[in-house]
Amino acid sequence: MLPAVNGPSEQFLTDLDQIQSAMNTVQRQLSSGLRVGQASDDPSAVPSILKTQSEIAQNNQAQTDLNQVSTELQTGDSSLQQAVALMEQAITLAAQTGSPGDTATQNATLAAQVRGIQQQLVNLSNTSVNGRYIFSGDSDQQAAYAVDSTQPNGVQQLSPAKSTLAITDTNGNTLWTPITAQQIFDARNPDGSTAAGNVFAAVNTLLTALQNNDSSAATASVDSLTTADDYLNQQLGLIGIAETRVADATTAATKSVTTEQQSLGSLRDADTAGDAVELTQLNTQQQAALSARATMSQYNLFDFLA
Amino acid sequence: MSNLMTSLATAGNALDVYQQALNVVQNNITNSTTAGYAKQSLNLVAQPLDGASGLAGGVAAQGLDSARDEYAEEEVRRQLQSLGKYETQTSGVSSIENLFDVTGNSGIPADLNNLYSSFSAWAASPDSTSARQMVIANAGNLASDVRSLAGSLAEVSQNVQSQIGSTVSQINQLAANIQQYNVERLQQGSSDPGTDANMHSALEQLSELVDVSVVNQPDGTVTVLMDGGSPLVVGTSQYSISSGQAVSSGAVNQQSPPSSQILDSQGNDITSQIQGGKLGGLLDVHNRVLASLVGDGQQAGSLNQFAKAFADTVNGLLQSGTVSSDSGAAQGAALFVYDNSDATAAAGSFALNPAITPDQLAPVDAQGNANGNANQLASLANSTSAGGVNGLTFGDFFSGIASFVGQESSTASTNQQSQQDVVTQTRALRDQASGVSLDDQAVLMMQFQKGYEATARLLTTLNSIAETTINMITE
Repeated sequence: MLPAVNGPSEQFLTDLDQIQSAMNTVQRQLSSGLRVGQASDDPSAVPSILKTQSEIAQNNQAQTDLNQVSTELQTGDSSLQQAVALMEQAITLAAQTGSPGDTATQNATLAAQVRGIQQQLVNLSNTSVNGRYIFSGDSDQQAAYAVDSTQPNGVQQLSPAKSTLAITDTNGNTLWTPITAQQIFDARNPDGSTAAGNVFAAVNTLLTALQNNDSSAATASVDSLTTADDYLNQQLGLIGIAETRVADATTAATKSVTTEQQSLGSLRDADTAGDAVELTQLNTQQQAALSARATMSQYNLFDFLA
Repeated sequence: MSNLMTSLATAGNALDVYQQALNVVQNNITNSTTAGYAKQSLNLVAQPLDGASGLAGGVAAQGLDSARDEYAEEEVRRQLQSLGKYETQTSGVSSIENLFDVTGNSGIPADLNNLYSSFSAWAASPDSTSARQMVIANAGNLASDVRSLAGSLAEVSQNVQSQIGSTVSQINQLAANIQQYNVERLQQGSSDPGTDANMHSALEQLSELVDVSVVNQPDGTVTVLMDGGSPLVVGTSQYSISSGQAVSSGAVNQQSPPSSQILDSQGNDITSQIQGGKLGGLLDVHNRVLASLVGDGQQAGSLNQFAKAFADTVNGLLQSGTVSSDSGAAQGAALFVYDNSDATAAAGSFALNPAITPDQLAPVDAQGNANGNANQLASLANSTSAGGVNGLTFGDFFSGIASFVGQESSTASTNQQSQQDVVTQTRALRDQASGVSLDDQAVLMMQFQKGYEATARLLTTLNSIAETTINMITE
């Protein structure tokens, strides 16, 4: 059987073991930099730590996603600004017609320019970013429109105009639902008929008039072109609003990450200075205990009996 | 003359008594570090002295007195039962705790975060093949880690069961030793310090292993009963216990991991009677802590709850939607698979659907929103509107599991430290009463030595007187 350790010695060993255990814990915290490296270090803090980690991950991902959306919005903004410029060019061309000296040749030349504007507007309706047609709604792998002179408005719609994609923040609030090429360039009334601000229709009206050498009709198209231009500017404004909302959400996510990382640090990370002091104190305590034990009398009466 | 002879005999007897006393001191000193030994003292009784009637007085030895304090011994055993329990709880739960990463940098918490991030990225680009592939890859990592955790917990369970088996063997061996000491006690007819020390040492070791009560019988033997009354040792008979595993016949989950059982010598299940000692701690770790995680006959286990609920939620969303916004698009496929034949099988079988391909993932929800499903899946990170467990998000539920394990470990460790102090103190109190002090024995040795020397001188003097008397007679 194992020999028995006497009471005082057993107490000494127990106390020494507890000091060593505390030192091991502090050393582990110092070397890992974590106050909570395992669940038993602070069980009540574990849910908060993991939740904060999760929130940081969500907000980091939100920043990435919103940056992508922001890129698309900026590209869309640029495309619509170009479209507005093209519309103003078309208005200028339409205003040039109707002069007494207009000839079929002059109108044909103007028609060629308007045809170019029409093609560029269709190209802008098919703007893509990283392989996505940003104005194609849910069918982002398919171009929205193509020029087709056989169609009433001079274009062929290639993809349905449905847009149900919702860009949300980390709380699930919808920031932006992308607008479609139909909404921007091919405005329709609820019954499907061409609406007043229809860009393709207005341009095609001018083109048809010039192709038919109908200067008065060409001149009359200025009104519809102006209306379409105003409508285009409204769509540009919507994108601007979306850009602002996305930028605000991105900023909020960035700030959240900073706050959450600070919170995580206070929950999880070790207090290096405090731990170092504690380790020093424990070291001192251990040395004192050992020294005291060493100076204790090891003698009993037998040592003095001759 | 006859009185002179009587005095000589009495003095000679006294020398013998002092010799016995010195032998007792010698035995105390040599056994000062023997486990279970209680200091002995020779009971010295003065003999009647009446010179007129020829009673010469003197001293006689009337057996040994043991300093053992049975109350203190019982207190030590009682505290050891608690210490043993906390020790095995601490070691058992710490091995479970090591399986749960709580930094959030790895393991299931990190996998969940990665999966939610990939859902979010997919929501931004629902038709992106790379986004879909990331979803599948991260789902695979989560499934792998859930299975791995379930497997590791099963290994811990096996280790604990193995420790239960070896602890039961130790208990039976100690019971056999105690039974043998009872036999020796009966053969000796009187209390022998050596047998007594061995007996109490064995009882102390046994107490650390299992909660027992000890009854000292008038014949000097001990009866050892487990706290529910099941016998371990009664007189010269030993009753062995055994360990096993079983799923109760009325269990809800018949395929569940079996619970640990302890059976008495009649085959009766006495598991519920065992609360203390290392065996009690091991049973607690296996049948309560582990069972709450991996399940048993009556409960699914929190890890299985998590796996099942997560798979069902994700699969439900995906299968209710379509793979694209195109007309006639196919329904989505399940992302996860698991064995649902038993509530306790989910985590161990949790896996990525082996047949899933990126184009089978359904970002479109049942209402036709292009990224409705993807958004709902991403929202699982911080909302229960699309699904959860017991009103909690999946992340919060899993953190609760980790926190529970941490709390168990912390409590057991704190209890162990506190109880170690208590055991040390009770042992010290016991040793004050029954332990051997070398200083005390040195004083006694000197005392008996002086007595022996004085008696020897007296004997010499008496002998001289007797010689003188005899010489007087013969002259």
